[in-house]
Amino acid sequence: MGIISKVTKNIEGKAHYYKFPVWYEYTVGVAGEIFAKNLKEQGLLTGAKCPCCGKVYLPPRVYCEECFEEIKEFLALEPVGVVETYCEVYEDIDGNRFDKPKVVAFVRIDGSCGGLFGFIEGGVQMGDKVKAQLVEKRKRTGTVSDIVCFKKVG
Amino acid sequence: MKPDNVRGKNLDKKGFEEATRVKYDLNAEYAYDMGYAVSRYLMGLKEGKIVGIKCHKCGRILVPPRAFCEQCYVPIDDFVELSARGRVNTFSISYVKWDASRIEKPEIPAVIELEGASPGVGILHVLGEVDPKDVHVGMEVEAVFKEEKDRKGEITDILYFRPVK
Repeated sequence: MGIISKVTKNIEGKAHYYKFPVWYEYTVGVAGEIFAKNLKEQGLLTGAKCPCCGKVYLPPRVYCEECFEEIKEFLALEPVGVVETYCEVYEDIDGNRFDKPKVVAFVRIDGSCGGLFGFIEGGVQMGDKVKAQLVEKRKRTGTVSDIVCFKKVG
Repeated sequence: MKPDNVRGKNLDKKGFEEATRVKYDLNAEYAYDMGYAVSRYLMGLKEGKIVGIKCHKCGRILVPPRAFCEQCYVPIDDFVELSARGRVNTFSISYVKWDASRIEKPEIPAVIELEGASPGVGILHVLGEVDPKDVHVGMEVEAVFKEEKDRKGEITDILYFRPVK
């Protein structure tokens, strides 16, 4: 027998509702600012090339994580790449159901060893070539939300 | 300390405002079921009373009320009304709020042992109408309730405890 079942008094129950005011603002950093500028003004992505091993990081870094070498060379890259892997999602972050599932993919950007996550419009397979669809230039903020989705090309 | 070869930079207020930023608002929402013992306590506060609970086995009077005595491990439901007066058991003078922002006028959270409750049993609240310099352990205090129409059955129905004049 549970401990509460011995309690016979009739008491109105109460619940406490609360929303924590939790938010953050992330500053994109030295390399992130170059990425933001290229995306906003030219609609291009930015990679960072290590002078020592030649690896191209995307998103860009100011240091190579393998050589510990400082990176000063930034390359503008076309927002095209290859679908590395993808996943169908049925709920948003708060558990609300979508009308139809969304496809989220990791796209490896051509000319770099890195890539970006983004929504896919239209069906894709792993290995398909895709191109980023950007929001209008005047509405861009320089963050990854400027990329509306990726669409299959060719 | 920042090593010399690191190219990252500290941002002042202006630098922060000019920087590209990503803002995110987390949906950190919850509902907490109070259970019957704390529900009774909160309803008591709405009536302007502080309600405790008595263990029929060891006789201790506990506040805030709970569903069982943690020493005897028996279910309990003998609610008793306690006095709104008590003594400061311990306190702190805090110049930071819960979100770590600084405040000029300190808040004084304190544990108050209410008259009628067993020794060492106390509730956590804040002190008011008092100079922080005058606060001491053992100080006699009394609860100041909100006006009846404003009380909602929450712990904040007690505004604060103030020294007994």
